[in-house]
Amino acid sequence: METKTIIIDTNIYSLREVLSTAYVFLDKYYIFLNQPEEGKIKIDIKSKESDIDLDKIEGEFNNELINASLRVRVFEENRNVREMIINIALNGIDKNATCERPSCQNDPEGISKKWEDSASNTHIAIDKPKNVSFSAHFPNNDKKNGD
Amino acid sequence: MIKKMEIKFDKNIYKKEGILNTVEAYKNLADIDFYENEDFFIIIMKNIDEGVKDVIRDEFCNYSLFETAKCQ
Repeated sequence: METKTIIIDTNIYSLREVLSTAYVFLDKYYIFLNQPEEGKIKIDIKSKESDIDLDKIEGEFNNELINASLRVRVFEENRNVREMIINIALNGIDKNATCERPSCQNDPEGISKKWEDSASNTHIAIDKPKNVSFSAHFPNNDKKNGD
Repeated sequence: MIKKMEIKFDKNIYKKEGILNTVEAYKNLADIDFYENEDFFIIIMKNIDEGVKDVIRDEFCNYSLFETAKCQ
Protein backbone atom coordinates (compact mmCIF):
# COMPACT_ATOMS: atom_id res chain seq x y z
CA MET A 1 0.00 0.00 0.00
CA GLU A 2 1.30 3.46 -0.97
CA THR A 3 2.45 5.86 1.76
CA LYS A 4 2.44 9.64 1.69
CA THR A 5 4.81 11.60 3.91
CA ILE A 6 4.18 15.12 5.19
CA ILE A 7 6.66 17.17 7.21
CA ILE A 8 5.22 19.74 9.63
CA ASP A 9 7.21 22.57 11.18
CA THR A 10 6.46 22.74 14.90
CA ASN A 11 7.28 26.44 14.93
CA ILE A 12 4.06 26.93 12.97
CA TYR A 13 1.81 24.18 14.31
CA SER A 14 2.01 22.70 17.78
CA LEU A 15 2.02 18.96 18.51
CA ARG A 16 -1.45 19.31 19.96
CA GLU A 17 -2.74 20.74 16.66
CA VAL A 18 -1.03 18.00 14.67
CA LEU A 19 -2.54 15.31 16.91
CA SER A 20 -6.02 16.84 16.60
CA THR A 21 -5.65 16.91 12.84
CA ALA A 22 -4.36 13.34 12.64
CA TYR A 23 -7.31 12.20 14.75
CA VAL A 24 -9.73 13.46 12.08
CA PHE A 25 -8.13 11.20 9.46
CA LEU A 26 -7.85 8.04 11.56
CA ASP A 27 -11.00 6.47 10.16
CA LYS A 28 -9.75 6.40 6.56
CA TYR A 29 -5.98 6.32 6.92
CA TYR A 30 -3.24 4.70 8.95
CA ILE A 31 -1.16 7.51 10.43
CA PHE A 32 2.21 7.24 12.08
CA LEU A 33 4.03 10.22 13.58
CA ASN A 34 7.76 10.58 14.07
CA GLN A 35 10.19 13.32 14.96
CA PRO A 36 13.24 13.00 12.67
CA GLU A 37 14.78 16.21 13.96
CA GLU A 38 14.07 18.99 16.42
CA GLY A 39 11.25 21.25 15.25
CA LYS A 40 9.87 18.83 12.65
CA ILE A 41 7.13 16.24 12.78
CA LYS A 42 7.07 13.60 10.07
CA ILE A 43 3.66 12.18 9.27
CA ASP A 44 3.37 8.92 7.33
CA ILE A 45 -0.09 8.43 5.90
CA LYS A 46 -1.27 5.17 4.41
CA SER A 47 -4.72 4.61 3.00
CA LYS A 48 -6.88 1.84 4.46
CA GLU A 49 -8.57 1.33 1.08
CA SER A 50 -6.84 0.92 -2.25
CA ASP A 51 -9.13 3.24 -4.23
CA ILE A 52 -8.39 6.40 -2.22
CA ASP A 53 -6.19 8.94 -4.01
CA LEU A 54 -3.32 9.90 -1.71
CA ASP A 55 -2.33 12.93 -3.79
CA LYS A 56 -5.17 14.98 -2.28
CA ILE A 57 -4.41 14.02 1.29
CA GLU A 58 -1.60 16.52 1.79
CA GLY A 59 -3.85 19.47 0.91
CA GLU A 60 -6.70 18.13 3.02
CA PHE A 61 -4.37 17.54 5.93
CA ASN A 62 -2.97 21.07 5.71
CA ASN A 63 -6.47 22.55 5.57
CA GLU A 64 -7.50 20.53 8.60
CA LEU A 65 -4.35 21.74 10.37
CA ILE A 66 -5.57 25.32 9.96
CA ASN A 67 -8.96 24.32 11.36
CA ALA A 68 -7.35 22.62 14.34
CA SER A 69 -5.07 25.58 14.91
CA LEU A 70 -8.04 27.94 15.03
CA ARG A 71 -9.98 25.65 17.33
CA VAL A 72 -7.06 25.45 19.76
CA ARG A 73 -6.64 29.23 19.68
CA VAL A 74 -10.34 29.86 20.37
CA PHE A 75 -10.24 27.20 23.10
CA GLU A 76 -7.34 28.99 24.82
CA GLU A 77 -8.83 32.47 24.40
CA ASN A 78 -12.13 31.41 25.95
CA ARG A 79 -10.61 29.37 28.74
CA ASN A 80 -11.20 31.96 31.48
CA VAL A 81 -14.79 32.65 30.47
CA ARG A 82 -15.54 28.94 30.19
CA GLU A 83 -14.07 28.16 33.59
CA MET A 84 -15.95 31.10 35.14
CA ILE A 85 -19.27 29.92 33.70
CA ILE A 86 -18.72 26.37 34.94
CA ASN A 87 -17.62 27.66 38.33
CA ILE A 88 -20.72 29.80 38.70
CA ALA A 89 -22.94 26.96 37.51
CA LEU A 90 -21.46 24.56 40.08
CA ASN A 91 -20.76 26.85 43.04
CA GLY A 92 -22.92 29.92 42.58
CA ILE A 93 -21.60 33.44 42.37
CA ASP A 94 -18.63 34.23 44.58
CA LYS A 95 -19.53 37.48 46.32
CA ASN A 96 -15.90 38.19 47.08
CA ALA A 97 -14.89 37.85 43.45
CA THR A 98 -13.81 41.04 41.79
CA CYS A 99 -14.33 42.06 38.26
CA GLU A 100 -12.32 44.75 36.54
CA ARG A 101 -15.06 45.83 34.19
CA PRO A 102 -16.79 49.06 35.31
CA SER A 103 -20.22 47.62 34.60
CA CYS A 104 -19.56 44.91 37.18
CA GLN A 105 -18.84 47.37 39.99
CA ASN A 106 -22.41 48.57 40.25
CA ASP A 107 -25.26 46.17 40.19
CA PRO A 108 -28.39 48.31 40.12
CA GLU A 109 -30.53 45.49 38.76
CA GLY A 110 -29.34 43.04 41.40
CA ILE A 111 -28.29 40.55 38.76
CA SER A 112 -25.51 39.14 40.91
CA LYS A 113 -27.89 38.28 43.75
CA LYS A 114 -28.93 34.70 44.11
CA TRP A 115 -32.52 34.00 43.31
CA GLU A 116 -33.10 32.47 46.75
CA ASP A 117 -31.82 35.61 48.52
CA SER A 118 -33.90 37.99 46.48
CA ALA A 119 -37.01 35.81 46.70
CA SER A 120 -36.91 35.60 50.52
CA ASN A 121 -36.85 39.38 50.83
CA THR A 122 -39.67 39.90 48.43
CA HIS A 123 -43.10 39.97 50.01
CA ILE A 124 -45.98 39.74 47.72
CA ALA A 125 -49.17 40.72 49.51
CA ILE A 126 -52.46 39.60 48.19
CA ASP A 127 -55.42 41.16 50.01
CA LYS A 128 -58.30 38.93 50.81
CA PRO A 129 -61.41 40.04 49.00
CA LYS A 130 -63.86 41.84 51.20
CA ASN A 131 -67.51 40.96 51.18
CA VAL A 132 -68.61 41.53 47.71
CA SER A 133 -72.23 42.06 47.05
CA PHE A 134 -73.68 41.60 43.69
CA SER A 135 -76.91 43.10 42.60
CA ALA A 136 -78.52 43.09 39.28
CA HIS A 137 -81.34 45.09 37.93
CA PHE A 138 -83.52 43.54 35.31
CA PRO A 139 -86.03 46.01 33.93
CA ASN A 140 -88.20 43.31 32.43
CA ASN A 141 -88.61 41.60 35.79
CA ASP A 142 -89.65 44.91 37.37
CA LYS A 143 -92.29 45.30 34.79
CA LYS A 144 -93.63 41.81 35.48
CA ASN A 145 -93.63 42.45 39.22
CA GLY A 146 -95.37 45.75 38.76
CA ASP A 147 -98.06 44.17 36.68
CA MET B 1 3.32 -17.21 12.47
CA ILE B 2 6.11 -14.65 12.53
CA LYS B 3 8.61 -14.63 15.34
CA LYS B 4 8.90 -10.99 16.20
CA MET B 5 7.79 -7.51 15.09
CA GLU B 6 9.04 -4.23 16.54
CA ILE B 7 7.38 -0.81 16.56
CA LYS B 8 9.12 2.30 17.87
CA PHE B 9 7.11 5.26 19.11
CA ASP B 10 8.83 8.61 19.55
CA LYS B 11 8.63 9.79 23.15
CA ASN B 12 8.30 13.41 22.06
CA ILE B 13 5.02 12.61 20.32
CA TYR B 14 3.36 9.59 21.89
CA LYS B 15 2.28 9.36 25.51
CA LYS B 16 3.26 6.36 27.61
CA GLU B 17 -0.25 6.09 29.00
CA GLY B 18 -1.64 5.95 25.47
CA ILE B 19 0.76 3.20 24.43
CA LEU B 20 0.01 1.15 27.53
CA ASN B 21 -3.73 1.48 26.95
CA THR B 22 -3.17 0.21 23.42
CA VAL B 23 -1.12 -2.74 24.69
CA GLU B 24 -3.98 -3.58 27.02
CA ALA B 25 -6.48 -3.43 24.14
CA TYR B 26 -4.37 -5.62 21.81
CA LYS B 27 -3.06 -8.14 24.30
CA ASN B 28 -5.38 -10.86 23.00
CA LEU B 29 -4.12 -10.54 19.42
CA ALA B 30 -0.42 -11.12 20.11
CA ASP B 31 2.18 -11.49 22.82
CA ILE B 32 3.21 -7.90 23.40
CA ASP B 33 6.23 -6.62 25.32
CA PHE B 34 6.74 -2.99 26.21
CA TYR B 35 10.16 -1.37 26.68
CA GLU B 36 11.45 2.14 26.63
CA ASN B 37 14.80 3.77 26.08
CA GLU B 38 15.80 7.42 26.15
CA ASP B 39 14.03 8.34 22.93
CA PHE B 40 11.47 5.67 22.15
CA PHE B 41 8.75 3.47 23.52
CA ILE B 42 9.42 0.07 21.99
CA ILE B 43 6.73 -2.50 21.35
CA ILE B 44 7.68 -6.04 20.49
CA MET B 45 4.94 -8.32 19.21
CA LYS B 46 5.38 -12.06 19.02
CA ASN B 47 3.29 -14.93 17.70
CA ILE B 48 1.34 -12.93 15.15
CA ASP B 49 -0.35 -14.48 12.16
CA GLU B 50 1.73 -13.63 9.07
CA GLY B 51 -1.36 -12.73 7.07
CA VAL B 52 -2.55 -9.99 9.44
CA LYS B 53 0.73 -8.64 10.81
CA ASP B 54 0.66 -5.46 8.71
CA VAL B 55 -2.94 -4.71 9.63
CA ILE B 56 -2.28 -5.30 13.31
CA ARG B 57 0.82 -3.06 13.22
CA ASP B 58 -1.05 -0.24 11.43
CA GLU B 59 -4.11 -0.52 13.65
CA PHE B 60 -1.90 -0.60 16.72
CA CYS B 61 -0.23 2.65 15.59
CA ASN B 62 -3.60 4.28 14.90
CA TYR B 63 -4.95 3.22 18.27
CA SER B 64 -1.82 4.56 20.00
CA LEU B 65 -2.28 7.87 18.21
CA PHE B 66 -5.93 7.99 19.24
CA GLU B 67 -5.05 7.23 22.87
CA THR B 68 -2.28 9.84 22.81
CA ALA B 69 -4.62 12.49 21.38
CA LYS B 70 -7.11 11.56 24.12
CA CYS B 71 -4.44 12.14 26.78
CA GLN B 72 -3.71 15.69 25.55
